[in-house]
Amino acid sequence: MLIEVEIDGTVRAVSVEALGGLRFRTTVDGMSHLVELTEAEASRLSLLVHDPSAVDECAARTTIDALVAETGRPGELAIEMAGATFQARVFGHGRAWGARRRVTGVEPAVAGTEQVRAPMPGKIARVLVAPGERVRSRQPLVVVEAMKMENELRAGADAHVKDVLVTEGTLVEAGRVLVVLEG
Amino acid sequence: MNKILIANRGEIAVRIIRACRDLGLSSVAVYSECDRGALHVRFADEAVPIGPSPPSESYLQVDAIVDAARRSGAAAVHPGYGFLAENAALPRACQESGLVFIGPTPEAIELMGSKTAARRAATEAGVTVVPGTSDPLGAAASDADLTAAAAAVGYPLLVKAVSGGGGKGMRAVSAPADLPHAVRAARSEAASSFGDAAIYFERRLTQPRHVEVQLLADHHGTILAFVERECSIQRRHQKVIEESPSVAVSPALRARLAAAAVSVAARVGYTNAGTIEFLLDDETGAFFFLEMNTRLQVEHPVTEMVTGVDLVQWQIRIARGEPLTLDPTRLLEPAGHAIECRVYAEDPDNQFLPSPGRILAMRTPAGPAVRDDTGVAAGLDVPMFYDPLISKLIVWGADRRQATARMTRALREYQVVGIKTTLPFFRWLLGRPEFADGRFDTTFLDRVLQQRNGQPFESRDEEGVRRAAMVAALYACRRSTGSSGDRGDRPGVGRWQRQARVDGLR
Repeated sequence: MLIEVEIDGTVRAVSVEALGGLRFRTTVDGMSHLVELTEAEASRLSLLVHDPSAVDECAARTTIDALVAETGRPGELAIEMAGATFQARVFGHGRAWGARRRVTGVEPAVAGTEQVRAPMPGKIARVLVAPGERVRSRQPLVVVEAMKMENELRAGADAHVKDVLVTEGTLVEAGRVLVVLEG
Repeated sequence: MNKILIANRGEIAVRIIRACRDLGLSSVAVYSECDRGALHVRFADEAVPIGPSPPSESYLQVDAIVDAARRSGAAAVHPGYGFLAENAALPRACQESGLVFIGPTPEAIELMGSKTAARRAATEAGVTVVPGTSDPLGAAASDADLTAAAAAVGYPLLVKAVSGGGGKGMRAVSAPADLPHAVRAARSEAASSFGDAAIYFERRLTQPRHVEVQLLADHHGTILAFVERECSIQRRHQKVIEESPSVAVSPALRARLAAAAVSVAARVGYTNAGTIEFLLDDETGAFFFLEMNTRLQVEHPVTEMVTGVDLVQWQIRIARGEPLTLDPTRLLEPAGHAIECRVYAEDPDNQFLPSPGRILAMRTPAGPAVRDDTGVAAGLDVPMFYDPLISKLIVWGADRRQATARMTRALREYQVVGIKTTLPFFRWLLGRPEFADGRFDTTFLDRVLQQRNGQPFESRDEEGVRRAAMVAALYACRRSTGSSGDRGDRPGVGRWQRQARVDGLR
């Protein structure tokens, strides 16, 4: 599952892959972690984070002890961990919990040139537009597959496709520019 | 006396209820409309509503409080601090209704409530006061009178409200040209805060420390002084951190401070708990009487931590006529060191603006030698009507270094979400070298805050934001995987737990 989280005005795509029970593989900004979750106490997430490259299954895990509460505004969470507080807005996909989905990977307004970047590492499943093509706001441009989930990246506003930098089947890292739009 | 009404709210009401329970007494809380769910109401044995949320219509209503005491069958009233604690009308009304007031006499409150009368009493007791005008300057004082009085005191000076307290109605003046404006500002603040526009002038000492002596006085002529509290770390004349003992006070100076405090209290026939505040000149060891607070103080726990004396229990015992049986020498020999941080619902990264609202979740610190005097709880609103103090965090250590380390640790454990608090500010302050070395005076904090120029207290790095994003995503992921009929806007904790149980059954 790909979940978009906005903190301090920046949207990050976090991929969460359920590994059974309360174990997950998460990827943020191209960095993957194995995470064990505990929900023993109200409003608290206790995380044990493994370095996936560690060979030793019994290697020490990093702990994250987070106080998490819903603020009552759609998709908004108040988080405190290690002395820092965060206001996070989660954008839900379909029927998932969160604020209504916003455009993925595209800045809200296309002004001048806009680079559409991969929000997470994955494989380009489909390229839906070609250079020179006129696209409408919210029109799907590229489909990125990650963790068995397909994620459409859409245009933020009406624009021209200036460049398409990937082809179907390409493996991309998070942040890689996929499509360039011109307003 | 087996039932006590607490005419207060928040952490101090909870503190007093605890003392009642420790003594086997029942407690009666009073509450305003917005405080129905407040912690002090939950803690008390009984609770009486006393009116609408604005303090002037509830916690400041003498009649409503005395009526609540009468209806609940309470034998005594404890005023806490703030609200009616230094208003002689409450003890008078108590006397008329046959209730015991847990505090000094109305006469002592009135006398020491006038800053100029208090200064006179201190002088008569042989204690040096901060140089200043001996009589109040009323609204009728002419500009010429003011200028002459100011010149006699000398610049820089402070314009202070005769009926003032808590930093209100106070203005600093460094040159004669600024005097008229400062007088006008102080007068108008004093009139609106205390209903008395009278002011006086006091010489402004350069970089003094604020130290104060806790007193207990019984009805049998015994007055006992405690080891000093150091309260120099202030923001705009409001105490922020208090500790005991002071790094600047030697045993010999402590004895002189204690003797001076006792002589002032004796002079005015003081009873119950009170505190004499002094300004201390670090270099010469000279100290000056500042004022007397005729009540329990916010920072009383640091004294309790280093002496082992429960001051609130003793307030109650004194009020019911018991003689003080404490060993006077032990009260001046602190065991270890205690520090208190006043945690406020204020946003330190936005000019300390108040941050009322709902506490969505919180964890208070615990562990060795940590005391948490909290007046709030998760799920409760911090009302906009009252003082923003939500909690006092107090730690004890065998020495100042250990106490500082424990406070640093406790501040890290402390988590609050939903409202802004001054916790990030304290985490910064405890890490300052000046704090570690005890090098500060009453001007220290305002100076360093000015130098910071709004630089945020909360440290944030990319790694932290990434982790927060991961936490939010995992929360959302778990929140979404519950049964579809359960998807609502209410907090998801219950569903999380159900899901965890479902997972456990698989």
